[in-house]
Amino acid sequence: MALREQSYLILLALTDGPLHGYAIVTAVRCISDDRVRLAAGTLYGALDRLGHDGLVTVSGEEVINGRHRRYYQLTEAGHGVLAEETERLERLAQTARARLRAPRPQPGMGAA
Amino acid sequence: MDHYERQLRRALRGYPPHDRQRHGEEIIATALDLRDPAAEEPSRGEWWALLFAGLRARLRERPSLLWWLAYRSFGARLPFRYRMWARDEALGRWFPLRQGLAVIGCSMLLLSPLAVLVLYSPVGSQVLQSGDPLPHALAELGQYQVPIELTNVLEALGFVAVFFSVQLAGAGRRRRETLRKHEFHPDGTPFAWGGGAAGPTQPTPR
Repeated sequence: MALREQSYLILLALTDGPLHGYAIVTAVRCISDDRVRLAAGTLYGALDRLGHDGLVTVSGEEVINGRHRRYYQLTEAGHGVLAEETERLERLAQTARARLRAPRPQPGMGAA
Repeated sequence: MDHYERQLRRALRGYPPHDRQRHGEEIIATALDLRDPAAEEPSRGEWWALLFAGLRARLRERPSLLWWLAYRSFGARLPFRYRMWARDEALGRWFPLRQGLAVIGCSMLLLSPLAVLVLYSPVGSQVLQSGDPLPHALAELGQYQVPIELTNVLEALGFVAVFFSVQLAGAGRRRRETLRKHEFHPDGTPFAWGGGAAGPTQPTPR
């Protein structure tokens, strides 16, 4: 099951334990070296899809300073998919490294 | 509530009502936490992302055409995956109007074969002064114009008013029936909170 980068990062953020929406966005920003900044709509769209696929679940909710917080956590299936996707990316990175290490063909040295 | 939050709440309308009730405040809270203090309104990208996330949720929950027709025409119970749509539909403000229009639409659909039969019947042929094949008969029918009189219009309007009043009177019962059929209490809370994939663990007070 291939994941979009955003979904992958959200699942990765949830490996720390249950997090609420804002904490997920902060964690994703941190994991991606400030490259991926999720907007609320994108976050909840992704959480909805992940929830629908059974990869995340709601672990609790509370109200802090009048703001509603719902905590999300990884399911067993989510953990499995995350591990699978990490291995796939690792294999891809290995292949990419091997190809980059290979000597570059020089212009004019191709098959005559 | 400032302009920023109002804009967010406007984009939130893309979500189905039940999603707004369950997740709306949470989404707004997160969006406000993420707000750039200098921003007076959400960025265009953020606003559209929120709207589209809601519309996607709506689209995902809509029943297929066949189920929709079965629900509208015969009040069929929809499969479990569409029950939240049925809930929102039954609790919607325009439920009686939608029901009334569905009755009219279904009646027209069912009665249209009868109209064709009438055209071919001896009476129909006599009226049209022909035993012609259907296309010709229809063409003649098109040329036959009924004079529009005020009393006819008033009668038609009276019929529509009575029809929709009856619909309105029976709306409460039909609403409760639809909700019960899809395993909801009359206020829209489910019989049992299963806590679906991303559903709440407890019913959210409304």
